[in-house]
Order: sequence, then structure tokens, then C-alpha cells
Amino acid sequence: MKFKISLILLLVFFLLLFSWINLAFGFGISPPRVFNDHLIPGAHFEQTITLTQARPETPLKIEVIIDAPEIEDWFEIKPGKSFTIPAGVQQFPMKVSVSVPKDAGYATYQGKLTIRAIPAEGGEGQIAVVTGAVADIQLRVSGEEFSDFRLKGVDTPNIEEGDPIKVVMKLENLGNVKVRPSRVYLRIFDQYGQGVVEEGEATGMNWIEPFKTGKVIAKMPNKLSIGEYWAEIEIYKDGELVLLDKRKFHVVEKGALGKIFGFHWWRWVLVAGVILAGILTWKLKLWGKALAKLGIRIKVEKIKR
Amino acid sequence: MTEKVKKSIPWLLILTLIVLSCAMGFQLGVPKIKADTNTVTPTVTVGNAAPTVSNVNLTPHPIVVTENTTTTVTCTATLTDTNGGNDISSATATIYRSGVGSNCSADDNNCYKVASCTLGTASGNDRPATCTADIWFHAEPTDSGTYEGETWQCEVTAIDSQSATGSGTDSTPPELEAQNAITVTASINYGTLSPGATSSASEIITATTTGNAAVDVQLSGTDMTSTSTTSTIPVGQQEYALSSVEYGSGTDLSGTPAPLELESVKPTTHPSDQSDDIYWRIGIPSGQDPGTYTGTTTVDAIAD
Repeated sequence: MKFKISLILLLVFFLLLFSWINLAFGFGISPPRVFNDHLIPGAHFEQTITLTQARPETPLKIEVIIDAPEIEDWFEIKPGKSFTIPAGVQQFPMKVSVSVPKDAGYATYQGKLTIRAIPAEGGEGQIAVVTGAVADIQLRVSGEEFSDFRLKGVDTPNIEEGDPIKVVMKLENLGNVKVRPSRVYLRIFDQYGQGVVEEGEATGMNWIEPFKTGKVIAKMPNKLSIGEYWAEIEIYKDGELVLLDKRKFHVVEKGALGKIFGFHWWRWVLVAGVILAGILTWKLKLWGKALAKLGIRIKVEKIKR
Repeated sequence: MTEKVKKSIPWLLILTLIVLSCAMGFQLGVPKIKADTNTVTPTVTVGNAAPTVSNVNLTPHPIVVTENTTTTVTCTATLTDTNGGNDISSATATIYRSGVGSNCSADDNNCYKVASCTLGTASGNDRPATCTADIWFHAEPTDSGTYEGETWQCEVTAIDSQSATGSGTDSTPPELEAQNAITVTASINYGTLSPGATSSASEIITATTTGNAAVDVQLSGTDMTSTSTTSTIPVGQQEYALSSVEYGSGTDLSGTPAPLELESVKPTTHPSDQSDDIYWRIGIPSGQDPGTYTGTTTVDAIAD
């Protein structure tokens, strides 16, 4: 009897729990906007809108509706205007790709991007409530050039002796023209960060195309010997200092980078290849044929004593 | 004997190639130790050097919160102590909105304290540290709104065996993005009504703000369709309001989304402290076919 009561209580508890789970459904988008004030005719940019849900117990069907008169066909949604977020995924990145036609007129275009999460259908005699979120669209097309960037990361990787010091910058181009820092200046300190051992401009930087994110590498030749150093990095945007930071790096002996158990990977591949080729040819009995083709004949005779 | 020699040839060739490979590439260096015959026994007291912190990096970049729950962010750093990396005994971190500063008091809206970071294996004077924090959905955004122009920052503090400390922050800190999110009751059940009757009481759905931005909603719906016949109840027969009003005093639901301004503001705690009840009533047209009708109502979060 006690067991039956416990079982009933347990069932009631789970029923209440599951009914509570089904009581409400949450959905969010981040950021809730597709804004760009610096477009020019022919420009292209991509933005990620992350779709989020706290309880991804089941797959979630998503529908995207673009309500943007005049500019609807500028948009492409990846993975599509209708897709399913697999169960277990709390954050799903949705790419919004905008291509401005070359003949687009100078104007500010507005609209809405509605993203709906369609849960399982409601029961009979009920109104199922669908949850969604709206991202505002505002795109300004003009003929004005705009140059700006945001630094998203800086690194000074280890180098081999004699190689230039590298400053690797992750940079997001916010403008409609290609961009790179206007200047990168380095002061190299000893391992204690005390005395300056070398300083100078880091040059040879590549460009980042409009509205793209990528790596810019600046290099500075040096005569540093093997050891540990600090690099004080100054990064400038249009002459204005935008980053001042100290990063540690090592100068190692020539050929020391990229080694596996003390040796370059290609040496391991070479040895593995030689052994594999040997075994294969042995198994396929190709040695005799190959030697015969080369005109090599091996004759073994008994040594007469 | 002849057969044995023949069988050995490939192996001899393989062995030769391996030896050649090693000779070409694997130049094993033997450390050279110089013996010094004139030894002395010097005495020196090594002082304690305070640790330094560099290469601080808070990810992801940007930070995106997850509605109604937490999201893990990671802050990595290189801790350096010239007494040796193993002299670093622990590390702590503060992950915060830049405007409140690293001396902030713990607050799930803008300041997260990491009491203990995970220390990696020391290599020379360096020791890597990894600090994680679970950021709540109501953490303050910096890409728009009140704190636009600020960032989310991470300050890592290294502590050595002598309790000397050193700190460092991320030189390229990320934004924390705004999120429009709501959690809404999953269904509305009007019960059983006669043709020509209207709801005697309101059905309530609760819209709870579960992102980090204040939101309003836009409402739309579809005609209700019979599960057994082709009859429908037009969508406009349903009405909504922010309080329980008589049928006829609410706003008719439509197939076109219509905004409804909520009183909620940005949540500041969890579970969310910001929610609004939306009251629903329905009027059944006279002569409506009997049956069970179902439909869909859409609640979209829109910018406040």
C-alpha cells in the first residue's frame, strides 16, 4: 500500500514537472538589429545573429521573414529562411548576408527581420503560442568612403633566431574601404621587462577587405639572440594610438619551431613513408621485378673452400 | 642460402634508407658540458619577485548571453614569475563591465569574481591560467544602450608563494551583445463556449523578459480552424489587453503583427523579475458550427 502511494506521488510529481516544462517557451536573438551606416553601391557584408534558447530539449523549427520593402532581395540567410536547430543547441549562429546592388540609390533603407521559433503544435481546442523576435534593419547607402577598424586580438608568437618579430593582429574592418593599422611600433625588452634591447617599426602589413574580419601581420627585423623577451606594442589608427600592450615571446634556435618529439614533422613523414613503401613493395613482391627492370641481377653462389 | 639473401635485400634497403634519413635530418645534439676545475662556493640570497600577468584574453569575442540561463566565458592569461613558474601558487580573476572597474563588488549584472583559476603546467618562468565564469542572461550589454562604448573586461591576478601579486587586463576586450528575448506561456485554452457567447473570464499568458534588454511585443494570429469541419473562427474574434477587461474593450487580434507596449524593463536578477500578463478573451459568432477549434497566436519580442 505504501509502495502504491509512493508510486502515485512520484507520478504526480513527474506530471507536474513535465507540465511545468511545457508551460512556457523562451527564445532570444542577439544582437536584435542589422545596422550598417557605411554602405556603398556594390558593397557586401555579413553579420551573425545568434539565436538562443535556455531549454533545447527538442529540435526547434525556425522561420525567418524579411519585411524590408525595396531591399528584400539584398538579403541571404544562412542556413536558409527555414531550418531546424538540433536538440541540445543553446546558441545557434545565423548568418545574415547583405549584398548591395551596384545601382542602389543613395538612401537609408529600413525593415524588419522576424525570426520565429515554432514549437510542437498545441493540443486540440487550444491556441498554440509561437514565440519570436524581431531584428530591426537599417542600411544607409552613400558614396562616402569610411575607414575604421576594431582590434579583436593581438599576439606576438615565438620566433626562430634570425626571423623577424611578428605582431599578429585580429582586426574587424568596420568601414567600406580596405584597412590596416597606420603604424605598429615595437619596443623589445629583456626577459625582466627592464632594458630596451631593440625598437623600431613593424612593417609589411597586409590589408583587410571592407566589412571583413581577418589577421594582419606586421614584422620587424631584429638581431635578438635565443631567449625570453617582452614586446611593448603600439598600434595606431590614423595616427592615433589605439593599443599599448606588453606581450611575451621567445626566440628559439633555428628549426626548433614546429617539431614533434624534437624533430620536424616532415622528417617523421619521410621515415614513415620509407618504411611503408618498403613493406608494401615487399608484400607485393615487387623488389625482384624492379631490380630486373633496372638490369640488376643478383647471383648467389656457394663459396668453395 | 640464396633464398635467404634474396629475402634480406629489401630489409637491407629499408634499413639503409632509414639510416640515410636519420643522417640527413635527425642530427641529435649532445649537450656539451664543460668542466670547470677552479670551483668556488658562492653564497647569494635570492629575493622574491612579484609575478606579472600578460596575454590576457577574454572570449568569446563578442560575448553572447543565452536567454534565461547562463553562458560560460573564458579568460586566459600567461603568469610569469622570475623565481620560476612553479612559484605561482594561485590566480583569481574579475570579469566586469569596464565602467564599474575591477574593484567592483560581485553583481550578476556587471561583475563576476572568479575565486580560483585553473593553473597549467609551468614552463620556465611562465604558467598559463584559465579562468571561467557563468554569465547570466541579464548581464549588461555594451554594444548599445546605456553602456554603449564600454566593453567587458577581465583582470587576472597572480599570487606567488610569498603572497606577492601582479595583475593584468585584456588589451582587446570584447563587447557583450544586447539580446531581445522572451519566455511566453505555451498555449491559451478558452474552454467550452456556446455560439454567440463571449469569455466570462480572461485567459492569461505571461510574457517574461529573459534577455538583457527591455522589450515590447508584437502580437498576431491565425483564424481558428475546426478539427472536424471546414469551419473557422476569424482571428479578430480574439481580443487582448494588459488588464482583465470585458470582451469588446480589448484590442482585436489580427493576422498583421501589432505592437503592444509592455511595462517590463531590463531584468536585473534571475529568475527574471520582469514579466507582463496579457489577458485574452474570445467571442464566438452566432451560428458557429459546434466543434473543437485550434489556432496559433504569435508573440514576437521587439525593441522597447
